Amino acid sequence: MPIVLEKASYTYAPGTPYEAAALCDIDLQIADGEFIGIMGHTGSGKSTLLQLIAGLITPSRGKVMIDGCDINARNYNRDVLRKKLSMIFQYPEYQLFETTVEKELAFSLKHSGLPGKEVKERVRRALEAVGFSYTRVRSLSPLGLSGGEKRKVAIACALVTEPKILLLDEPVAGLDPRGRKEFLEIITRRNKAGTTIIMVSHDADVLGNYAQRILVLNQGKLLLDGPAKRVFTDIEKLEALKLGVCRPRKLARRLKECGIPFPQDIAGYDEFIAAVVEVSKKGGMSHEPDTGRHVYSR
Amino acid sequence: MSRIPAGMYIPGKSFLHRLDPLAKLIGLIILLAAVIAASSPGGYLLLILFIGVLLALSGLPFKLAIAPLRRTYLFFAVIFLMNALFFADVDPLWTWWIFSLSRTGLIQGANVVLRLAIIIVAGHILISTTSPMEITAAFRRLLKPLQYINIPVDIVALIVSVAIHFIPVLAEEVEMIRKAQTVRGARFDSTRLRDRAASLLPLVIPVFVNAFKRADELALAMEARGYRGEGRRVSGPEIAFQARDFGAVLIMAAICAVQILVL
Ligand SMILES: Nc1ncnc2c1ncn2[C@@H]1O[C@H](COP(=O)(O)OP(=O)(O)OP(=O)(O)O)[C@@H](O)[C@H]1O
Ligand SMILES: [Mg+2]
Repeated sequence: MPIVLEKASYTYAPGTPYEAAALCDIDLQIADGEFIGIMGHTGSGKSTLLQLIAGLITPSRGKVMIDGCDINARNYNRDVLRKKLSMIFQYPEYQLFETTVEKELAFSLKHSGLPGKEVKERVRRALEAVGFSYTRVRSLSPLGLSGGEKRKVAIACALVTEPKILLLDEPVAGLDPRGRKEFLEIITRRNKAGTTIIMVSHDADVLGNYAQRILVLNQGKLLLDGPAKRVFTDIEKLEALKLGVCRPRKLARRLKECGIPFPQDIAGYDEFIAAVVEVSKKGGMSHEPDTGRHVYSR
Repeated sequence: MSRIPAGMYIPGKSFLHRLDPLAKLIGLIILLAAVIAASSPGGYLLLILFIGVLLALSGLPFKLAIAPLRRTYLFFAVIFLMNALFFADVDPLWTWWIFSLSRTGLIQGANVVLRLAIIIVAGHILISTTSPMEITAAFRRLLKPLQYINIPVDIVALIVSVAIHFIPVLAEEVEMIRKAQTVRGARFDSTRLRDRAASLLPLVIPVFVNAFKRADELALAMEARGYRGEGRRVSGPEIAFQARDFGAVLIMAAICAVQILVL
């Protein structure tokens, strides 16, 4: 398994009055090319989990293995990890510091050992992946760009190493709906090309629509882990924990409550639409024409 | 790696926590004077012992109290070497190219490093045992007499309070940016000086840019809420000096006097 956590735990500031057990005995296996969504309340340990996988913090107990190697072992070469893993933090635009966009991206490739021509080529590809024209932005100052453009440059910085694993911590926070959609499309495209995506988000709708598998963290423990459809099937449990549920799943429940035999293993809008088509073919939607208003009353 | 940010208040019930913040502040100022006056090995020994006693009284874990030194050892090393190798002396112990190692230089280097280290640890103990509110209130009381010579004490107290409140915020931000740049390949933990120097700009520039942005936002927010810089703005619990506090200041003064006058 490419990413394996074995009974990984993490405690902040042990032995001080600020001691906080952030993660407790996490067992987790992630295969290549998965698109994973992580949800949970504030303080449930989502960011801590990403940082453990990124090797930014060392587990207090347990192990983090990537491609069969313990990344915290003494003889493990961290450069290997840096080449195959990137992470986008919340407000990634805060990390920009170079004088030109091109240099900013090239910084991420400084230790890659790639020849200059290849670096240039990768920078061009990464900028185009986020929707920039290479020739237009390459010599602009990243600090002088608008907020949204800065965010895109920062995202390009994470993509430029062409990582095998991409970790995202609340990446869509503070983006407008269009920026959000663009961003999620970039990430989905990467995932289709084989990159493993692990994304933390407060937005159940985003996770339901884009992630294939969802992890739910609660007070430092892995509470639920499974395909998005299955995790959202247990809607009562999620609601009891005051966690968000994606809208298609809520709609499916409303339809069922209206007496329509509607499937309940729904996470994304595509699945929802497919189910609507399926059910109406069987004539299930047509027997009570004015339930439509009812459905949307929530 | 799980660090508590520097300059963080650590709640507790120790003697130092309960001491009047003004007493602690005056104590620190006296200690500063003593440190600046220190010159003999005996003087330093006394001061170091004294810091040790303060540490014991503060109830802070030893590791935590010297954390700021562990983070800055490189800075100390550079200062020491600069002094040791570049001090122009008549009879150097050893010379090579532009470097000349001399006795006076070595002593000078040790002096500067010891002084800085003592001041940093003492300041750290104060900040760790006193909440930001208390420090602000103590500053206000300390500066009060200056009101009569038209010094805007309230504004100065406000500046100090804002600065103190921002220490943990900045520390957290430094940590966040350090992590972000580490993922991008900066080598902060490398043992090679070249790597560490190269990872300085990616850390310092974003931190400064963000700090200025924050300052701008704060100024805007304050103006929007009608701040005009007059009257009493910052307040804190009023505490009266007790016998204990007088005692503490007196002991501090006595020890420092011995240090300055005798050793
Ligand atoms: N630097 C730190 N020092 C001490 N405790 C911390 C630190 N960072 C996080 N914690 C604590 O660890 C726990 C988990 O934090 P974490 O940041 O992983 O949560 P999160 O799920 O990402 O929350 P959010 O949704 O707010 O980002 C919290 O209780 C938090 O208070
Ligand atoms: Mg978080």
